[in-house]
Amino acid sequence: MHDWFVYLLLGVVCVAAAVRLLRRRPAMQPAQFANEPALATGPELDAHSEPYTPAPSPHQPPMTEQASIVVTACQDAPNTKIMPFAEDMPVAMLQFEGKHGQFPLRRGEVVIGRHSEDDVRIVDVRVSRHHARLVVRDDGGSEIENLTAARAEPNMMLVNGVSANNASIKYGDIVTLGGVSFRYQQAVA
Amino acid sequence: MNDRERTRTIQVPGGDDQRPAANMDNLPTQVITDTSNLKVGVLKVVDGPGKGQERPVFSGTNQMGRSADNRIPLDFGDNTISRQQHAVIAFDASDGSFRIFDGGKQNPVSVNGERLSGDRPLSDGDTIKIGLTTLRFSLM
Repeated sequence: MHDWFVYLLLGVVCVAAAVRLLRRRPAMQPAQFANEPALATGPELDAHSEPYTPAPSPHQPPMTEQASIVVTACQDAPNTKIMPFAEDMPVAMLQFEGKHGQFPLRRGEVVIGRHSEDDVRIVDVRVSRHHARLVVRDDGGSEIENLTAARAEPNMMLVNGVSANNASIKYGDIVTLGGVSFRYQQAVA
Repeated sequence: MNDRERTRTIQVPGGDDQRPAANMDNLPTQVITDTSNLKVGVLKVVDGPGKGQERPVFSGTNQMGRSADNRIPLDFGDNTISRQQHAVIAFDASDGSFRIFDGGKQNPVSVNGERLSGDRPLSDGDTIKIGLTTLRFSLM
């Protein structure tokens, strides 16, 4: 009878402690970037919005898993354009077949070709040196231009199998330069 | 020809390392046009799974590999040859010279028993060993 009462008391204390702990824990707040332009990488990036929590207020200890990725600069300079993940986040992805693998684009404008100075280098003799220029737009699509078009011996560029010298491409489109193809894709973190 | 099959590494003295591909910055692109479809040489398989077969070498740049879409397809079942661009033979129409470039693939390429590193000139009668296949090069 006495033991039963002690266990009940212990249980009540435990539940109360758990409730207190849960109420103290700050709720995950969504990013408040109302003034920010939409991310160049498109709507699916919403899935990654939780890391951009506002700086924690002094009386709330930061949650450990957020500590390394909190963006604080926007508080001091509200007009500064801050692109979260600007350093690490690719703006788009080129998915090649086979061993060429994936190529994440970390800049909005790249030259694709066989030359060692090209930003995206495809070491395949069917691809021209400085073959194409790809410029990523704000909405995630891209403009791609065949740089060989004006040369004496132009090399082909196909977009979804159709020859083009200038084209707008969107996620999922397949571009062929010489004999090598890649799919233009949304970047994933 | 099974294009999904992985390339098999063979034990070659000083081989089976990942070598950097030859510098191909000055190599013209392999664009197949009427003028570049001129046959200027021939490769005959003298040893290996495709023994007896022949492959033409065209004017311009010629990619050699196990896949059928190479300009010089070595598609006779030697899976020690890489699928794409294991080596490249280039014919310079201005002086009639040939050069061979190493594609930097898994298994090394040798010319006349000497391991190819980077690129070198190729002349009539040279033997090229690529994977387990030996080819003899001759002018057309």
